[in-house]
Amino acid sequence: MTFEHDRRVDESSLDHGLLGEDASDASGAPACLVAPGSSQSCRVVTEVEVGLDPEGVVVDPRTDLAYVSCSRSNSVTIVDLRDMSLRGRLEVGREPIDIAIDVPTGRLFTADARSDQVTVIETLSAGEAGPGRVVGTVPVGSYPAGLAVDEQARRLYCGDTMGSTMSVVDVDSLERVAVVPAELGAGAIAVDSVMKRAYCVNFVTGTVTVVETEGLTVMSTVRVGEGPCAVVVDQRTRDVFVINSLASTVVRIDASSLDPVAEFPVPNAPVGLTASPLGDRIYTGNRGDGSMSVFGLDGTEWERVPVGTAPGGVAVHPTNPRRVLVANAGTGSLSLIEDLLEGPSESSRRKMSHPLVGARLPDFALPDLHSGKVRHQSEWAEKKYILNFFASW
Amino acid sequence: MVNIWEGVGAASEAKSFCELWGAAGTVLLDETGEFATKLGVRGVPTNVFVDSDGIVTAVGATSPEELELETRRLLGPGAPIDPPGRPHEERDLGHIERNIKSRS
Repeated sequence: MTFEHDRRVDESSLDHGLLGEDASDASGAPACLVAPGSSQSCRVVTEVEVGLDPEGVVVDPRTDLAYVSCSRSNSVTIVDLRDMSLRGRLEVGREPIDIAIDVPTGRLFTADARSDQVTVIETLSAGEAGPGRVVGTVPVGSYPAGLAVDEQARRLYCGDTMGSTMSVVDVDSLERVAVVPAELGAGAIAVDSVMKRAYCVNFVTGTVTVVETEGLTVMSTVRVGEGPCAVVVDQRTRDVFVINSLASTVVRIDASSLDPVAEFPVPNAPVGLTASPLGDRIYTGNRGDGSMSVFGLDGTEWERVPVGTAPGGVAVHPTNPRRVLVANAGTGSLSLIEDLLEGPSESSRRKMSHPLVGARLPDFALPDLHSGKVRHQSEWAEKKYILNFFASW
Repeated sequence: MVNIWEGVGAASEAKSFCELWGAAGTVLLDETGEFATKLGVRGVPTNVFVDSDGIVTAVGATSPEELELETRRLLGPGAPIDPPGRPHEERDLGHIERNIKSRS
C-alpha cells in the first residue's frame, strides 16, 4: 500500500492559527478546526491517513470524535475532529464495511462482512481518556455490509448481503431479535423514525426493501436501478435518496407513494451518500471519480471537490453541518471538507476533461494475474482496447 | 482489466473478484498503483479507452450509457458492439446470484 501524497493541510487555515490551542472563539465554544473561509466555497481542509480501505465513517457529536471502519485493516480508527489527530485504533472482526453509532448509549457497531457478525464498541464520554473498548459481538446473517440505528425503537438494522436479509438487533440487550426478508445484495440501510420505516438497498437485485418497523413487515419493494449501495432519508421532506453505483445516478423515492419520482446523474461510480441536516443538500462519494459532490435536492450539482482516491463513505457532522467527512478507500485516508455553499458554486458549471485524453498511453509492464508473466503494452499495439481499472472492494 | 489498490492479497482478491463476477480476459496487477497514478486514475472503476495509434480517447465512462457511447466512438460509426447495451431490467444477473450463493 502506498500513499499518493502526504497529509495535506490547507495552509490558509494554518495561517489563521485555527489548528492551534487558541482556536476557541470569544463565546468560549470548543476549538473549531474549520476556518471561516470565503463564502460560497466548498473545499478540502485537510486529509489524514487512517488505515487500509476505509469504508464507513461516523461522528460522535458528544466528543467530536470520528470513527472510521478500515475494512482491510480489520479495525476502527478514531480521529479527533478538533485537530484531526489520530486518537487510537480498535481491532474488530474481518472486513468491517459499515459503522453506526447509538448516540444515547455511545455504543458503536461495525458490520464485519467476512465474520458474519456485528462488533459492539463502548465509546468513552467527553473527558475520559483512551479509545474505548470492544464489549462483544452479535452474530448476524451472511456478509453484513450495512448498518443503521433506530434510536427511538432501540434497534440496530443490519443488511446481510449474501443472506438476503435484514437482521434486527436490540441495541440494549445486544441480541438479534428478528430477521426480515430482503433481497440478494442487501446492504446499506436508512431509518426514518418519524414514518417508522427502514429502507434496505439490495445491490444485486437493484431494489429497495421498505420495512414498516413497528411490525417488521415488508411494505414494498421499489426498483431503483443498477447497483444501489447507499440510501438516506431527507429529514425535511422524508423522501428517500438511493445511489446507484453501477448506473452512476441518484434516485429519489417519494415518501408517500413510495414511487421513484426523479433520477439524476452523478460522477463515475458513486458509492457514498448522505444528507445534510440543513435539509437542502446531499453529498455523494464518487468512487470512480476521486471526488465528493454536493447536490441540491433537485439534482443540481452545486460543487464537485477532488478528495483522495476511490472515495466512498460520507458523513456530515451532526451538530456542525458545514463539516463533512469523506473516507478514501484507495488512499486509505479521511478528508475533512468545509462546505459553506448556499447554492450552486461558480465553478460547478465547468466541465473539465481528463488530462490524459488526446495523449499517448504511457507504457506499462505489469504481471498477468493468471500466468504470472509480465505483459507489455506492445502486445496491444495497433489494437483498440479499453483498460478497466478495478479493485475488489 | 488492471487491478489496483487492494491493500493486501492483491492476486487472490483479484482472482476471487473475477470469478464472482464472471470477468474473463486478461487481468494485470498494478500492486503499487504506479501505473494508475501515472495515468491520473483517481478512482475505481475507471475505463481508459485507447485507439489503434495508442492515443487515449476517453477516461472514466463507467455507466452503461457512457460506456456504450465511448465504445461506439472508439470503434467508429457502424461498428457492431457485442454484446449490445441493454437496459438493466433485461440484464441476466443469474450467474452472479449463483456464484454468491455457492459461497454462502
